[in-house]
Amino acid sequence: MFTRFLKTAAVAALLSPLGGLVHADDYPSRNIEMMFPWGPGSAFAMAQIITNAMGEELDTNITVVSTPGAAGVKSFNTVQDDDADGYTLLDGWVAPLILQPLAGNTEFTYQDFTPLWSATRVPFAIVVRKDDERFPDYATFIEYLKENPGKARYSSGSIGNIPHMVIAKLLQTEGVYARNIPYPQDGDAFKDLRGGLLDFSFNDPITFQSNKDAFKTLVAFTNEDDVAAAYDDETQTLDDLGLDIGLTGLAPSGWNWFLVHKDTPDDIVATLNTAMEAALLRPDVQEKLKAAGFLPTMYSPDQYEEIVGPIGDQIAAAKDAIAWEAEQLKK
Amino acid sequence: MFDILLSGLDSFQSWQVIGGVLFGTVVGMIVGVLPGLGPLIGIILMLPLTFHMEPVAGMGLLISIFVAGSCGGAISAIVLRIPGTPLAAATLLDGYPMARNGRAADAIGLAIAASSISGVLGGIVMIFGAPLLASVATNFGPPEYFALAITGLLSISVVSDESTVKGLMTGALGVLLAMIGSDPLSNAARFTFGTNALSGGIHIVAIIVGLFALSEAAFQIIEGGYRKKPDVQPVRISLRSIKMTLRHWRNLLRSSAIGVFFGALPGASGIIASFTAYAIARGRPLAGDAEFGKGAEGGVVATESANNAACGGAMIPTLALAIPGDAATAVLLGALLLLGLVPGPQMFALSGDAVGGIFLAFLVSNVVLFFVGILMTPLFVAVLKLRKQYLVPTVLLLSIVGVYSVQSRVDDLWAMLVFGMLGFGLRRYGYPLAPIVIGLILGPIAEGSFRRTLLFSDDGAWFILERPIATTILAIDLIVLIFALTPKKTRQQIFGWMMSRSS
Amino acid sequence: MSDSELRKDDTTATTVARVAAGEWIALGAFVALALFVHQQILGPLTDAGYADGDAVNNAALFPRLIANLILGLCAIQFVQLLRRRVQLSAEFMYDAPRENALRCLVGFGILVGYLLGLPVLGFYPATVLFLLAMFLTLKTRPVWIAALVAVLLTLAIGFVFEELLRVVLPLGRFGLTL
Repeated sequence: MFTRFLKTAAVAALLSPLGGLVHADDYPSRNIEMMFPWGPGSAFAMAQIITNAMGEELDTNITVVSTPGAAGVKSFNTVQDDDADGYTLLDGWVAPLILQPLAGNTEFTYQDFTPLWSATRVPFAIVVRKDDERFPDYATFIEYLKENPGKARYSSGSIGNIPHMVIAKLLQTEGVYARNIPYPQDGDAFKDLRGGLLDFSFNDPITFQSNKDAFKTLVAFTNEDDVAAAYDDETQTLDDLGLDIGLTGLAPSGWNWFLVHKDTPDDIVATLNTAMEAALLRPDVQEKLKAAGFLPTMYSPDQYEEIVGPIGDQIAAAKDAIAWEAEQLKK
Repeated sequence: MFDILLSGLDSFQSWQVIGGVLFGTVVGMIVGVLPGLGPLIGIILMLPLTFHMEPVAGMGLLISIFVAGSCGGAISAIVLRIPGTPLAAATLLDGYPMARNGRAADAIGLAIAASSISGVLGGIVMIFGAPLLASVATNFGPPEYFALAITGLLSISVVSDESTVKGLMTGALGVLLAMIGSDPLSNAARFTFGTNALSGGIHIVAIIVGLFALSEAAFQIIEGGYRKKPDVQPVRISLRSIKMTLRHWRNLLRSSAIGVFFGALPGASGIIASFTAYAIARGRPLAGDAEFGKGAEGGVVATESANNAACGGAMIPTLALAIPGDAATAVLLGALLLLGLVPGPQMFALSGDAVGGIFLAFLVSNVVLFFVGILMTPLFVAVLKLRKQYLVPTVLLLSIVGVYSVQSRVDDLWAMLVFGMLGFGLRRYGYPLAPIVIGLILGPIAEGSFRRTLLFSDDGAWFILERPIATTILAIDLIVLIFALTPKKTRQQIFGWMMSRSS
Repeated sequence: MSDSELRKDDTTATTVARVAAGEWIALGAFVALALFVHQQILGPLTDAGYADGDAVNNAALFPRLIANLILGLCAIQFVQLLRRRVQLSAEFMYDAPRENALRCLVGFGILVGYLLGLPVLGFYPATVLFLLAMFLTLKTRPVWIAALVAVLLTLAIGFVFEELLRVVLPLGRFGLTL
């Protein structure tokens, strides 16, 4: 280790007193970092699962660094400002990748990054308390919202995130609205739903599993039965209820795609991709991700444009539902 | 309930588990002691290691880091006057004066023994009282959190020894500092000057290490005597500290209860617990103990038992409802899911070996903490024997690398530098630093829950009065406030009058 | 009674002959802080449309409250200072020799230099220089011992953080790692 240090030192001193030292042929020669856009939590641990397996493939360490801020945009800007040497990866979650650029809050779009493989998705659902007699099913729920415009209170976690857009879009489609109470920590919202302060809330499969004694789903935001089954067998999909909210496939879910700086050399990107594919295909990695409610999506880097492009279009059409909700509440 | 523990015995009795707990305790101590790093960073850094371990061993390792890391910060607070973690900011108030009185080893012993005992107590409550306490926690909504935040902010007037006005001023400064960055409710950028670097706010670790560590280094340099070797008594390893701690058993039990309570409320955290426990202990000094703020054993016992009991408390909503109270438990929750264990009420009912093993690991890690801590104490005290000319630069460097490690950004180091200068200026003119920590932690809770309360309400802030728990807490706060503002003489007269009436 | 005559552990309010200029400066800084908050609310926050509306949108609600609280506290402190009532913290009553204050200033300069050098030189060279400079400022002699300790300590800390804790330390232009 020390000899390696001396060797690098000697080479560095001889070769390049000022220029950067990017050698694709010996990549990776040191620890790699991955910027993570939220505070530490379950999604952070999932990122570590994948990067740890990638690190083993590459024979190096990949450290995940949590840099929350500006609704996730801070970590994206940080990666853009960093060197394009393949030593800084980005856990590209959909909200800062697609929604924030569409809202005009960024200078980048999803096309300003080079994709690696896609990682995982988390399907969302609307949940209510099991013992809440007002909402035996989806139809009565909408009926209630119609009779009490703007009176019901729900939470999507933060304001202006993907669950907020999806719920607002669904309610707008039904011609109803409610008040979104922001909670920076999703868990606090679920606690207040349990405690009876909130009328309904978004949820993810794992929190739902843990609160099955108290919660039931009204609708899961997906068209696929096996995705809805991540909640429970009774959970209904959008299709089951005959709903078209203009968001299909991945669009109404939370999902992440690993990214690097756009100018990263091709051979380095190729090395990373080989490692990430191998990591994702490992049965232990798949098993762990699924156990935690993060479903592996397995889209290859070539599919980035064809998958993300249409999602962008759908989100662009749906995001106005948030503004519509705010307008209704003002009246 | 005991059968959970018994069924866990098998999975606990393996070398990997015991090794994991031991290793985790040592790592936890180290990340706790180093300024900047703390239990959260320790857990994050060691999480990938657990992917290849048996579930119970992996959780044992992480939980030990959580437990020992929550205690380790006290040691740097006592020895160096720098809280190794924000959790130890209140321990400094009496721990450092104790060290100055030549009782560094005693103070460390007290801190470790109190942490260990209260940790076990917190663990027992976690195992046997989780479903009950979790249901209590769900009754605490925004109005209750707001009332509790006010209670915590009131503790400023108690901990700021120098001047209540100055303490409140620095407390308010802490609240403002926590607002820098994106407003968590509206996403509006506040006080960022439109920069990306400030959009995530200033990391609390950079602020606290800057305020305490840098200003302390500056004062040490100004004080002089760089070659002087401080006269430190040799430390023998002994179990005496348990006896010393148990002398404060009332304080220990009360502070542990406070710790478990605040720990069990998601978002409240051990920091409020330790400041609140300190404020209450201060009103009930033990005969024969030094005055609070001047090296009282009771001060160290209160803060350290509160913040370690909070570990057990924080695990309650995490395990019973999958609702983590802070970032550290959020990552622990993630680790638990990775091991295939789904938290929730069923976790306690269905048990299974793994759950029992994890509970055992929690209890044992607190016991191990004591022995590892006592064994390492001479090492920590030896730091005091270093000449200042080596000690000051080393501590500075460790602080810098520690702050850098949190987010890998040099920006954080510049922030630390600025707060070092600020801390120096504030301390020079008798503005206490501890309230800044309280403000930083409670500011966002107070603001968020106040605004959420307004959103729940149809008639403004009066909504709070519809919530009995919140109203009660606020009423008590009001009485405390009036009491604190009453001049001492009047207070004694009222007491005298009441006593004469009752007899 | 002047500042230096106060007992070292005296924390109660004391009437002083002359309030130190620093007390007034500290008070002024807090007033400035509160005014700055109001400026930010009236300027950028209002422009961005986040200074009014309901409790979600009104990001100015709480900062305004806190800024006014600070102004109120400043008024109380102002009266205290006029009455020459000053509460000094117990810890820093000693007179600093000029020479030490100078060393502190030099140390601060070294720190600034270190932070500037860190991204350019990388962790290892910058840290060795930083430690050496600090050691020498604090009168460590002979120089070769200071240099040796600086190198060894840098390597030890680098090893702990880079290899054990897997932190990516600043690389600099030379890209040196262990």
